[in-house]
Amino acid sequence: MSSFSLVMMSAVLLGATNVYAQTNLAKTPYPAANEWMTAPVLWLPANDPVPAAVRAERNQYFDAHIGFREPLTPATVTGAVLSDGAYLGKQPEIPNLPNRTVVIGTFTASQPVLSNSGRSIYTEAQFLVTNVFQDAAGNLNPGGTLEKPRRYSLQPQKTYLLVLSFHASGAFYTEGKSWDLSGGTVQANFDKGIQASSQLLGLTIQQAINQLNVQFGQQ
Amino acid sequence: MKTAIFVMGVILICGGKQLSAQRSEACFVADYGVYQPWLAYGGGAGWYGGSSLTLYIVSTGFTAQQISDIETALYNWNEISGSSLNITNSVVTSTPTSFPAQYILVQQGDTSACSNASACTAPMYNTTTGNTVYATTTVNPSVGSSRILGLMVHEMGHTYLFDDCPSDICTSSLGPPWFR
Repeated sequence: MSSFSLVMMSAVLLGATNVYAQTNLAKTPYPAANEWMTAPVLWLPANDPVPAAVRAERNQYFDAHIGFREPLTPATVTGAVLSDGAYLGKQPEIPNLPNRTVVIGTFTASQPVLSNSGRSIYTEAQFLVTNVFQDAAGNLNPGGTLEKPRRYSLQPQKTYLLVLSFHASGAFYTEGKSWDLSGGTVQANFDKGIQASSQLLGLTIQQAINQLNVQFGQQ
Repeated sequence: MKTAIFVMGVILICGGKQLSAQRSEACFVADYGVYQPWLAYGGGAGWYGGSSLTLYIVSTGFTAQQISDIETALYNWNEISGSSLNITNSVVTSTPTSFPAQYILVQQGDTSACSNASACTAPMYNTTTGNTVYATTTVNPSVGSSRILGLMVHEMGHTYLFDDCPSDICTSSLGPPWFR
């Protein structure tokens, strides 16, 4: 088994004194799967286990993709979200991603990170990998606060089939798509409206493993 | 164009209310007995009605038709929502280094932060007023030369702080293309 770091976006929702925004975050008809991100976690740059150069590359990526215009301070407080993403047409069940990596892993730990510029906060999630179907990097190794309640999100201590994209600069993965295996069968961890048909949904874990091994030439 | 008309129809179902100006006067999602603010980020009110907004489009990678689609998408939202924004369209060849108070920036680029989607939007909003301050929409170059009007109508809705509507909810009450 090996572990890897999945880095997830988490634009921060600031404004602790603004009750309105937080109150409305709770009014969804579905539970927020990313509510675990609201638990405060201390970020200690001095104890960062990630090498400085790698950390700089990750900071650069997230500053560019989700960063605010200026450092996050009480004076510059702003709310921010990143939409889930929209698609032209239906998507293949296993999406085609740059440096695609397909694994089964269990979410074991997470750490939110404030970028050195102070412009972005992102979450690094650790996964314990049990199956590798495709490994773009060949080296199978990522917080935040709730920016909006999401119906679908990776959650701690759950096991997922993950389709990831590996970023060589920064040596991290971003999530492309995931299925929840925690109940013993393959369940969508995404809005099923985005894909045309499924070969995976409802399979037992072993059935899914057998199918993916064949699909990715692991047998 | 068909997609844009559908979006207009959806908003008219909600009574043609000024969705951006009055966060309390938004669509009632009957199936769940909630007002559409639950679909809005942080209960946001969208752009401040009657204010000025610059739409920057970094032209690299976009066809002329796609640039028109982007401009049309925002124009349609402004017309339908009653936000009465004073919109300035600015097609540029590179990302500006300075911005006005309110703007939308649309450019092609890496969408891996949102699962390599065809497009995604990051709006920033004032947590006191609920109004959008600025927004960045990134379009995946994989769209090629395809028409992107429907896609951009969806993304411009995010700048008004509307969230994605899950397909199993929207098919019963609001329908596409709200959700994808």
